[in-house]
Amino acid sequence: MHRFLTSNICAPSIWSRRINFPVVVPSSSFHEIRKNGYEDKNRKKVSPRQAIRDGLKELKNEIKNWTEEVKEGCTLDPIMGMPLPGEVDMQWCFNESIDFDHWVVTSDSDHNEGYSTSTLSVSPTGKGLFSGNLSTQLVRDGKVKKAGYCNFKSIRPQKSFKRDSFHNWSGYTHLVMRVRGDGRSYMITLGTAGYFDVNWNDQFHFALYTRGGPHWQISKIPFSKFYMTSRGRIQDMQEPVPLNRITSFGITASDKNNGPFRLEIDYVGLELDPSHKETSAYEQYKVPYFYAGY
Amino acid sequence: MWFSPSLILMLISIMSSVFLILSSPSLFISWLGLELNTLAFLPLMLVKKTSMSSEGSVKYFLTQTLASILIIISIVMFFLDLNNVGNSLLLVGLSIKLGAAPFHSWILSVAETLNWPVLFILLTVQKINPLFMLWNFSSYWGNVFDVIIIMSLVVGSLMGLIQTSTRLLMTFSSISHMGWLLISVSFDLWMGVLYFFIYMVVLLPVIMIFNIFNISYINEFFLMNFSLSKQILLFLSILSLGGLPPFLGFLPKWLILQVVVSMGWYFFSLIMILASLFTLFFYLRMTFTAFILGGSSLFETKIFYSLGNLNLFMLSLSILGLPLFLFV
Repeated sequence: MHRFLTSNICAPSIWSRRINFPVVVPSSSFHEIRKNGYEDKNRKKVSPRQAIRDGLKELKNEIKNWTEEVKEGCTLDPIMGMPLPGEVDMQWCFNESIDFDHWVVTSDSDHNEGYSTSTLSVSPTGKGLFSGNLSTQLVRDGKVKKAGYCNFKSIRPQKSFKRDSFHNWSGYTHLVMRVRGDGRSYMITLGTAGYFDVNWNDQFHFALYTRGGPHWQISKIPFSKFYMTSRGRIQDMQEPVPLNRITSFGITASDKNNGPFRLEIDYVGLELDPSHKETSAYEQYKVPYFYAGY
Repeated sequence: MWFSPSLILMLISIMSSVFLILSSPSLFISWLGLELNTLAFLPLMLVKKTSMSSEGSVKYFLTQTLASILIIISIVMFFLDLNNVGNSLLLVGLSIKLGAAPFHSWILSVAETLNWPVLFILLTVQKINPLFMLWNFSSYWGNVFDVIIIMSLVVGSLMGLIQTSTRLLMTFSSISHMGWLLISVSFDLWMGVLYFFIYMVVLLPVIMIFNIFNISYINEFFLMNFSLSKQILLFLSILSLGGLPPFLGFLPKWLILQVVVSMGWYFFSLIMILASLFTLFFYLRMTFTAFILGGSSLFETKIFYSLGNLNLFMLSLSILGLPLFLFV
């Protein structure tokens, strides 16, 4: 019945409006339509019976995770998790025991849109190493107009039963990173996907300038300096980073310079600096209605 | 911001919706008042245009609309002489409007996105309309109503223990107070009115201080540019909110407990007292975190703020107002 309605009644009105993204949801599944990323063309179709069997295999683990969450909720004193001024609380420590399943490395060559390559590995000194080769050469398919990016980012944290969660960085004021770069500039990206789909692609960015050379540098960047973008476009209406709703942390190399890049990372941490009172570094001028941002 | 004509219009509309419901001759006119209330509150939430406030306003609109749909369907059920179904739907709709457990999730996610003055309106003024309608129908619900009361008391007290955001703490405290309000309304309207007004008087200075010093998390108390000897006033008012004698917040709880015990509802009174203990614990924890870390001098310049006259008056009323029981 649903297939009849969607294919015969709803679809023709959609075709007349020349909408070519998949608005007709297949009746055999319920899922949110993605608002970004690439479609997985090699995705295997799984029968409902097989999907139920696969789900039941994971049920035991998920119940165990859920009981641990409940125990932690009952026993953990939230005061112990509160940041103390001047201390750096490490979020990610990059060493030999780094779990690469928690990081996703991408570059423009993944979907045949460029020739850059990148990897996340362990450096000879036992720290994390994000390295590769950046190339701004365009693929000659007539569609790609810009090329040359490499990125690695953390996966979104999940609670039990595959529920999406957030990193809660509320109470902190600065992002602290101990890195050793090659003199190139990188972009730090904080993903802050919202509840509704218009906000799924909201991110906050700031530059990471590296000195190069043999010495490590500690970059302490206030969250007030991060600026908001949506699908890569800087927004006119800027706002402070919603620190209680961080979904991912990533670093991108795309400074339009061809050649190899190398960024060693020791740790990524957070700090509370009580003397830092700024909430957002970007002034907001009151503009008339129907101007930018409304 | 608060004196712009459009916002004053919204505040007047909210007041009008309250008067509309208080004087409405029928359930349909009351529903109209609820809709006006929702409509007028949305622009208040959107004063500061951020993605979080937009998200909160859409969530608020959707949940309130769902509750209004349930109420309108209950009106249709009453019209069709299906009184049992109508009563159930009306109770569920009004509970969603109030944010009473187990329909409280929306108020948590909305409260996080609001600034303090608007949060105060959400936790106080927005409850008047559904509470009054609940009072009108409270004799028809029986056990289901009792379940909602007990769940509000328990959820509001237990879930507040794991929170560090002051907005969520105040919201859970409000859910717990909602349980007390529902009990008071089921006995007598004037008891509910008294509890409600005292709750407003006690909550207002706390929220005013949180607003002045921009406190969003409990680790920010020691960052206040406020001398410790004056900070004690803030924490005494928080304890008043927790219902501790000899402060004003104890008065309504005392009255309701007295009535509940005299009616022989011992189980209810036990739950109410236990829930109060848990809420008092998380109020006290706010005090501890402030005074344990507050002794260290973090600032070179010693510029201390002082509270305004209204704030001092509300604080003094909250802390010293218990002798008002002589007039009750």
